[in-house]
Amino acid sequence: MSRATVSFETVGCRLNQYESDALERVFVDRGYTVVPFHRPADVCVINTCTVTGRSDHRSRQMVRRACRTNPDATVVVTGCYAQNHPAALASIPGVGLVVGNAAKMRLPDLVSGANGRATVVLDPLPEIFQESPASRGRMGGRTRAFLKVQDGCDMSCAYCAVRIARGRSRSRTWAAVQAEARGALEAGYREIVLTGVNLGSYGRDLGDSADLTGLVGRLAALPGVARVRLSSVEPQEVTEDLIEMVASHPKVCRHFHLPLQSGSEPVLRRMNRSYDPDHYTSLVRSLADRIPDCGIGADVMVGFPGETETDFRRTRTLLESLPLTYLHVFSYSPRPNTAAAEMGPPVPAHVRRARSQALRDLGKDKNRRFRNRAAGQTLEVLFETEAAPGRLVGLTDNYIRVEADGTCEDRNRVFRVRIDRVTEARTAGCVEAEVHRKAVLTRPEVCEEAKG
Amino acid sequence: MCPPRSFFIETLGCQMNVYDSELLRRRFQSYGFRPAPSADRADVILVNACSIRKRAEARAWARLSQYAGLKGDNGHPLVVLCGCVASRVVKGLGEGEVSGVDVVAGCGSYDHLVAILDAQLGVRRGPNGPLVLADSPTATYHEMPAAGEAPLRAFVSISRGCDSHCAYCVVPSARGPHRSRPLRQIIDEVAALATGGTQEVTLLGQNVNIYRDGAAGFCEVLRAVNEIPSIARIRFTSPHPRDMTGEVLRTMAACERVCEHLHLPLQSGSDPVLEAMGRGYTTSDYRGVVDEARRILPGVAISTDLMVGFPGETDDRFEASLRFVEEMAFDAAFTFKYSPRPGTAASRLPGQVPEEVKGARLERLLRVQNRATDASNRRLVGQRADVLVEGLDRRKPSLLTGRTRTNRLVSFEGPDSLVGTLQTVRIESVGRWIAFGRRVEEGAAGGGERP
Repeated sequence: MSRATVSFETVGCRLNQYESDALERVFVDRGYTVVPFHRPADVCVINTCTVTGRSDHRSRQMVRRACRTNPDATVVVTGCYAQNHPAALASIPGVGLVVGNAAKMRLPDLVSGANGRATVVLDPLPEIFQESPASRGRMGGRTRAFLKVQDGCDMSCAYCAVRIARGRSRSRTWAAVQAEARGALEAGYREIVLTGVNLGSYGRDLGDSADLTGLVGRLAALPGVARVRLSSVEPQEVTEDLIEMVASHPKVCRHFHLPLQSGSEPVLRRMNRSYDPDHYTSLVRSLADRIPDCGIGADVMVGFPGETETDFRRTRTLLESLPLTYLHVFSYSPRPNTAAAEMGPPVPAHVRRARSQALRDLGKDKNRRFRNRAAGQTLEVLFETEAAPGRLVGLTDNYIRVEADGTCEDRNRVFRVRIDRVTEARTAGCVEAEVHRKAVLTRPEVCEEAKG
Repeated sequence: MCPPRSFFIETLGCQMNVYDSELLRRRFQSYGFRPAPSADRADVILVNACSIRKRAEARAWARLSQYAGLKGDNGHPLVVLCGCVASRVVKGLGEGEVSGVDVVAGCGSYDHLVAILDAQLGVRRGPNGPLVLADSPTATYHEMPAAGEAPLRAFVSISRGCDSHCAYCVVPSARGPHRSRPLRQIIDEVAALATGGTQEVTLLGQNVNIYRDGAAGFCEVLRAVNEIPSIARIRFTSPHPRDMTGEVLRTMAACERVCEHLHLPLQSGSDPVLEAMGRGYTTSDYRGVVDEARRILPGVAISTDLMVGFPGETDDRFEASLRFVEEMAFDAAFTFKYSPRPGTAASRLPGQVPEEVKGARLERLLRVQNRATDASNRRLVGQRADVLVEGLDRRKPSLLTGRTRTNRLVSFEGPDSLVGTLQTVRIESVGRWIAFGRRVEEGAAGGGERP
């Protein structure tokens, strides 16, 4: 008899991607073979997202597609949309199981107990970090290891459905983080990207004076690591120590992602964000002053209920004035059971579209200027993938995607690259020399994967 | 805005179901639902059903089909099955027709049940059949707000599920593995009830003796609840004879609010039957616990559960059981005929006992136990007892009625204003189920609050 097959589709953030990978290993440990999502499978898992209305829509689309193309499969829906709206998903014809966030690592058991009735399984969201039962195997041919160190959030931003889906903030212990990081480094990963729902709150629940800065320092000291990168950190969580760590440690990437959401004080207050535009401004300026060429990104939301033209102008003026290097722009969509959903009429769609377009243009412009400044500089690039035969792409530590000539043997290695060409869409350069900060762990299978 | 929605809960079965219905009622109200005066006027009808015996489950299915008949063309109202029967349906062990049911909600789904029902109102049922909410093995479904006026006597769960696997019992398959509720939450809930006016709490667990939250065991629960002001009485159910310790008995003695009442389910007084049931103790172990309880807790009332006709209960074994029950001289007992339940080990055992034999044995057992109950009652005459006044006597509204610390029902004369207070009553006469007495006035010879 052939082995049972399972396919995955992930909607949403890096955390979801990380958790889908972990889930994949849980299934593989049970003897399943993983197949691509468009191929027939015995079990189809859709890991959903509910951060915006569009994520809900996309999630439902993927569920319907799975049911259509795999009428005989057990279709399993999990993730944040499943946690928050299980009944809506269970009513889609063909869905077998709807499994909330806390129960998802039990999926193989739940699949074997499925009895043909659309069944919802929600476990209480845990108060302490839940380790995945999967083996720590090597994961696909990647270069940057996303490492989940935290889950949940104790803030109560008015627009946010994710904290409802994820529960209280809880941190992973150093023992568990270290074990997974070492495993990833032994498997050949060079860069560790810390992920969580609210990374800045890391350690608060562990009670042993652990914090994000300490975690970053300990990870950067592990043998074999080339880089440690932060993902999004809330502005009020960026401490002096953290700035110092990023400014001074050669292996910690000069890269901050700081959600702003709005540059208008009254809007921030209604959003229940715990900082004001002045705090944000001084934080970003201080980062730019102390960390030369630091990559600094921001999330911005347009069209929050009651956002006036004046509010929007304040946001745009603030963004223009700040040394940000890229923007992620979102259009507000009301999420059920959130405070903002009760805050009166939405900003008309055409207004939201126009505001969003204006900020996207601004972001492009800022990013272009940042990359122009890099022209002529020599930056360290960790090559990840082959964009075309003989042409590699990778990230600089300050978050510029750079292309240069190279062979697939150069993947997953760090090179000094002199930036010589910046266009709207691309940044290109020439390799000068490889960086040997530590002995490079070789990974012969990387090239075979590239050929295969 | 939308008109107020209403709910109706019908509860069948044990204290745990009664407690869960109360939690669900609170949750419905926190979602803005109002209690409906009757099922036919509700938007959501919830049947919290029991599957401990065949007859109990059959009754649940009959109610569901009756409620499904109330549905109009628009599918309104929503009919929801919950309780142990639902948990067994989730596992494919149900013994009825789910086609008229909109939602099947296992016990371990109550944390989010009302949120889901709230979202489901007005949604037409899809082709996937009833929405099935599976039990979570980790849910303790108790984080529901206790607010406002509370009853004089209230239940509070300290754990969920059961790790014993008694051969006859559906509870482990229906309620999942044992998990203790955090002590902090128990204290918070009792304190909230006390603020709302509750004076007596009954701590509920399938096996209270294996309670554990970090370093705290069941004794710590008793001690912590004993510290909560304005709770006058603490009871619990059930302990397991196998796990009962002298330490618990000594803690009961040391905590002045814990009542001298022990409900200690024996099930059978025949050692081979106890072994086949998988109870984990012998009659001699059980006798040891009872002797110790009577020594440590003078005046303790001991009640029990007894089952006749378990597979393999021969005439000799039944006679032995009867003798043991007589020897134990229980103050009260709940007696049952064994009922085979699908999916349990006992339902597949050889030596099933014919129905008429079970009936005859039950009658004999009742006669023996009634003698013991009467003897226990007669010992009360002439004694003083503290009575928590619950209300007016249902049969004679001129009388007040309440319970002693040993859980005996007492009626006496007094003004309505005494309802909700503790009174000292001298017992003058006894019937099998109720005692009659006269109130001892405050300040009269030795009329204290508590012993």
